Amino acid sequence: MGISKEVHAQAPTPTPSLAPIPDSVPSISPFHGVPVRLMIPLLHTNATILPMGVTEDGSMQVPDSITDVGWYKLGARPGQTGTAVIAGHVDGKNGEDGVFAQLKSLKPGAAIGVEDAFGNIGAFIVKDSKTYDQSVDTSKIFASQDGTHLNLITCEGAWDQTKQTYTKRLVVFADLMR
Amino acid sequence: MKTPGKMWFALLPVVIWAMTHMGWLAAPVYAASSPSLGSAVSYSVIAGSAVTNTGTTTISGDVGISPGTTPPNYTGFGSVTLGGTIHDADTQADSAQTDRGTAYSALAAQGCDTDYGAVITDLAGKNLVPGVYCSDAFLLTGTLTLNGGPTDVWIFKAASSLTTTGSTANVVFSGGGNACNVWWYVPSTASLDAGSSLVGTIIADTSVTLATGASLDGRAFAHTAEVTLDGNSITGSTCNIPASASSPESDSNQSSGSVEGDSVCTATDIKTVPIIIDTKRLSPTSVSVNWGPYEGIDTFVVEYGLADGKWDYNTKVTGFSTNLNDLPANQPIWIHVAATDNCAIGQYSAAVVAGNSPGMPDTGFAPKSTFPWLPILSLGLVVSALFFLTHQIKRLVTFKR
Repeated sequence: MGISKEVHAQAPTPTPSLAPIPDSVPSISPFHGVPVRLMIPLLHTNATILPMGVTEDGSMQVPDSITDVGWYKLGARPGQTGTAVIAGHVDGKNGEDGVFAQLKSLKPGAAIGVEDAFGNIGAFIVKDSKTYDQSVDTSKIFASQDGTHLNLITCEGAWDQTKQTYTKRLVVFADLMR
Repeated sequence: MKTPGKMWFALLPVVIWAMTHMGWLAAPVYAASSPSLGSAVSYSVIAGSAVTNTGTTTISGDVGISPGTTPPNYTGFGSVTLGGTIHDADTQADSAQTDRGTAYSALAAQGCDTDYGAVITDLAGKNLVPGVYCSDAFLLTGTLTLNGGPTDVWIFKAASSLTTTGSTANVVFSGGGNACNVWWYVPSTASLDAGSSLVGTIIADTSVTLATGASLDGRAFAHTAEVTLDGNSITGSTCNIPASASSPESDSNQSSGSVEGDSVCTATDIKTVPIIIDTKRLSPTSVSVNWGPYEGIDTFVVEYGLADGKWDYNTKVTGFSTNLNDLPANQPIWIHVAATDNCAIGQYSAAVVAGNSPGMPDTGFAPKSTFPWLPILSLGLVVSALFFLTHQIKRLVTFKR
């Protein structure tokens, strides 16, 4: 089997590259390159997308910057069959708003745009949003294969002083617009 | 009186019986051991001076340059799909280069089971059981067949170079051999011709060159000079299951999928086709997998790798779950599982990508305290000041009276 082609900018400093996506996951859209930009018009969001893996405890990594968002590179790319996941901060260290501070106000029907590395833009429509416990089984959030999904995640709920994290996670579910 | 020659002729059937039944005619037992790669295990490419790429190339693992010069020591990576990380003249690259050298020495220390001598040996058309093969130089112009099981080891030790010629040059396994267990010891340069394909880890003391479209299911390691790439595919970068095995006692074909430790066994009809129930990402370098059902067999072979069909790792498990550790960090890991009776391997499950369900991300910080300390303190100061002023005015009025 082959590995889908992708292009990385040459950099003078070593940088980890993005994981190749197995092509046994069929693409159904010409839009399926590595995502680079997230746009949510209703929230005036225009954020850089960074590829993310997992942390030492097995959780999805998130960007250091509260203005960037992270795409889970071990899952699908936006536009590929399966579930692409993008996470962003709800707040910053000094209490300032993070890139997804207003994510909870995103209602079904709202549009989300994702630009890939080739300059293609795919449009997604919000279908639903739900709040989960921080420790929930994430298989349906990260690994559903029954469509071309894009799920946005941020923190919600109360601050758990013991675990040093919020108790809940808000997930906004969106599907690729046909 | 019978002559001695006639006596030997009469005893020949007895001698043959004795040799065949007492093992005298068994082929020599070859032994070859895969060297440890240490920190170099996650690398697809290691170069001493630079890595140069032209065209669209896929590299599944890490790329290291050591010692190199002032970074960057790599060019043409705008068209490289890289599954790992570039370590350019950094401490990780230094460590990998050192461990490459250790592996090179470990290969050098292994004696030759078959020595072709001071000739350029074309391996095309050969059907080789596991072992250590030596020659002045190795050439591959057609198909080399490696006949052995998943844990068997083949080592090719050249005194100078390794060269493949033509697009028909390739290596196939009969018996379930594994590219992870094929090693090319090359004291000078390794050159893979356009369109040719090779399996195994090339450890060259000078340089490695892959011409246009050449593919390598393994690794390309060079000590002092460049690794040159041109529209290539280098897959199967990592194999973390140390392999050390003897060859079968004869060079007859092994049954496909035989497993280690099967010198005395009777294959049963394995009907179990496992189903992978769940996988979970435990850390950047480990995943868990569990499967079923139990149908009388509780021993399984788990194969996994960086792509579907590229089963660079394998492990045998008693039970229905295992954790796979020491994986390339944050890479998709494909897994499939088959039941085994320790003699034969049954049908593999459907392959799945492991670890697509990580824990929820942590996307928030501790909220700042919302108690209005500042207004309260300010109000306190104002009240104190007013109280002080009122008191002073009262004193002044009293004094004037």
